[in-house]
Amino acid sequence: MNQVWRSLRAALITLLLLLGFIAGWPKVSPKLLGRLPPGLAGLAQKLPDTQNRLLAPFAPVADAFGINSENWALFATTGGIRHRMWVEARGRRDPAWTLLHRAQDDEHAYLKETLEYRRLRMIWNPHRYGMATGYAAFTRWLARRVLEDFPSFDRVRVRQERVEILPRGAGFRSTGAFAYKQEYSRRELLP
Amino acid sequence: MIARYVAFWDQREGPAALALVRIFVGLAVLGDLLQASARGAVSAVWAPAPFGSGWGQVATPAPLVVAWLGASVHAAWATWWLAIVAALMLLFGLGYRIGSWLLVFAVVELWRLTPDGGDGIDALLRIVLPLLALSRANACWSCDAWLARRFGRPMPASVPAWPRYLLVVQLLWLYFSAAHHRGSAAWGPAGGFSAVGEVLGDPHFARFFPGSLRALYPLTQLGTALTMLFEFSAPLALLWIWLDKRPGRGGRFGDAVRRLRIRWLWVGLGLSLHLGIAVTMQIGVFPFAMLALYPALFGPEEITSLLEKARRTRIVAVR
Repeated sequence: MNQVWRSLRAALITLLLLLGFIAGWPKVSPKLLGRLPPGLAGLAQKLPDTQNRLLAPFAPVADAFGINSENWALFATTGGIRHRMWVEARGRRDPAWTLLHRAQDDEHAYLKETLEYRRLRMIWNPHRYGMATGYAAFTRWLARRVLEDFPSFDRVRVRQERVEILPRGAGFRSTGAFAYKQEYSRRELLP
Repeated sequence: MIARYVAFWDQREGPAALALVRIFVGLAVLGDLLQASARGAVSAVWAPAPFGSGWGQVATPAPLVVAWLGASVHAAWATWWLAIVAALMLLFGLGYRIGSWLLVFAVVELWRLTPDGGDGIDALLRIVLPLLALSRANACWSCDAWLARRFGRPMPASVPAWPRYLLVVQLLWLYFSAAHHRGSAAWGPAGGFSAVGEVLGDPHFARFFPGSLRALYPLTQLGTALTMLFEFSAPLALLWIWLDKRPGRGGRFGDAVRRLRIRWLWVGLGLSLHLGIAVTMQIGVFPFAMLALYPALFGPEEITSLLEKARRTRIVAVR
């Protein structure tokens, strides 16, 4: 291997490391921004813009490989209000909903294996920025599947129970409220 | 100075470490994809609505598989099958150059079909797989190496070391980045190191019913503290590796690091952290795919020596 190629390779690796470093600049949350001294807060506010401008020329290559960021916010926030998914259905003349699936409920475990596959969970588990874009498509698929599996049902709803994580590992308690409700009728999905 | 820098990235070493990473990453990817099928989730994740949760099919530009095969259940299954075949080629090191790049293509296309149908480990694999594809991770323990020997043109005994170095940097950066993104007080003393206990209370992630492990709460606090220690100290792992590789360097400090086996302690902490996650949380392949990169933390000579010791122990045990 000639010297020019060796030098070029070292330069490319350096560029890669530099871009990775820039892509990994930490994201400062608005909450943290409020706690920073004014000078530092000003700098932190400029960071994302500078980061985008520096990375823009290389964005097509990163996009080709599906590389979005070098920020790894894994379980950055915990506790507080979390969610528990409910899947329910009912017949045309039935006023009550039948619970088919609920997270952590072995008595209502319809499609448990499928729904708990990690990639699907990423779609239906609300994260700190809200719900995944694919949630509407997911609930539509799920409702259709329920209506195919249970011909007696006419309506399906999927919603997320808001639960509060209790301190000292005591589990969670329901707040009684629900969010992210999606409801479908048989006529809508299986005309 | 520049010449030394260029020479650093030009180093060569035995292929064992990269080969092990190749095998473990291949197993992790294959296991995850097969699990999708066994759980009846392939269409549910990647097919377009109303047959699945995919929405990348309507994105502009459309994923290449959609441009070629249309937005359909068939396109989702075809991409999954391509990923399976390519993961097998990676695992067995068969037609490695083609197989590894096919896998890069397949995982990117799966991500494009359902951009939010994945987590941090998918993002990490989209970085790791091209690095592996550029390496000579097939130079040992592979079908390619076996075939090359059969045809009298054996693979080289040493391969470029830079892909392994980059894998190490990526792994350590991931840990450090995860640590400094944890703004929640629960990860520190102000929040009573309650984070792991809280994650185990989340009905969507807990493997055991939330609250059932309440008696073990102090252990989860210890787990939280050790996780932060492990992740914040990740950049120091480069120093531990350097000192371990160079006996006699680093003075008394270096001697203490080697004597106390700090590098091994750090790796052991990471190993127990990921195994703990695998036992207590339902987050799929994440802990195993992370551990799949751990052989990169060792020099190939250490790996061959470890395997040799294990082989001798087995022979003695059999006798």
